[in-house]
Amino acid sequence: MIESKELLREEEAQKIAKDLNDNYNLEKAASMIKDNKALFQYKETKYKVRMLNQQDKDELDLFKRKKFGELLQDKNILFEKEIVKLYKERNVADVDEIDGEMKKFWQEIKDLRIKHGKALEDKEPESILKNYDEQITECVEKINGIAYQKSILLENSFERTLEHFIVKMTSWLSLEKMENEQYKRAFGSIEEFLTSDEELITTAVSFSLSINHGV
Amino acid sequence: MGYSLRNLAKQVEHQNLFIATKEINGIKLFYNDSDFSRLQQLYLYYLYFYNDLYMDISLKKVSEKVLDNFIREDSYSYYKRQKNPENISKKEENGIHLVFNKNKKNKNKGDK
Repeated sequence: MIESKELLREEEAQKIAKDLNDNYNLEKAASMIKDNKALFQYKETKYKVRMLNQQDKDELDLFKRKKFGELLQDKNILFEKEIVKLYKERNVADVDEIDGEMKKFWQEIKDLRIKHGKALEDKEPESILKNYDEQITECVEKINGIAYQKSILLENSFERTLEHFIVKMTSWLSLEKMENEQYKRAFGSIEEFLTSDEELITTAVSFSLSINHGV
Repeated sequence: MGYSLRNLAKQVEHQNLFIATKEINGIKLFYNDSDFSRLQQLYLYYLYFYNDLYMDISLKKVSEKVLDNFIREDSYSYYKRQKNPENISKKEENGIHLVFNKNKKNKNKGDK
């Protein structure tokens, strides 16, 4: 009897914690939407991640071009197309086949969505609606698995390397810290930013991805 | 973030604010008037998305069960758009379009 009471309390506590977390996330999102800024505190220092202004974008563009040139001259960095071809030649993986599978599942989702949408319009019983919910969820999970597989295979491609660089640069450019009641760029260089605390980097990147990339 | 944006845009308070900004001068959703971030564009997209959905629910075109989860909402929205293919351009299908095209029949019905 006592055990089941404890279980109930634990479940209730978990539910409250989840609700609080969800509400916190919603409040954070609402605040970011209004002014494209995210304020947070880390180790007693106040930080802000904001949307890049035109000056930042010009700076980012310069860094991007420089990185593009560097990567282009590095013969060890291959383009996606080259990697896909090499994988095929060495019988390691067939990325085109993976793309084909994803396309197949996407088509299945589209077909299911039409039937699902019609069922919703026709006010079909819950059992039918739930069936479609489950079928679509299954397809989405399969696509996510395949997409993850593909991203691992192409992780070190030219395109992904450049993409990661842009995300890191954007995060660095958009991160500011409070000093003498004013917000100023938190780190003087990208190297300083990347060698700072892991938790700070993760938080800054997460907010920057939301504000600057809508992810 | 995507889920948070959707959940926000779905809330009655945000829908009311959205309607108010359309009908009353001086009420704004954002501090900025232009140069909207991707985040803001997505949020606007979902405001229109749910506005459209709530409209269909109130017109009894679909039951409230459509709001039970994102899968149902997306399915119904996709089904609706496929039902009226003349309103979809190739470009719109792949991008974010902030203003939903109104079906010509509905426009005629709704016009005073």
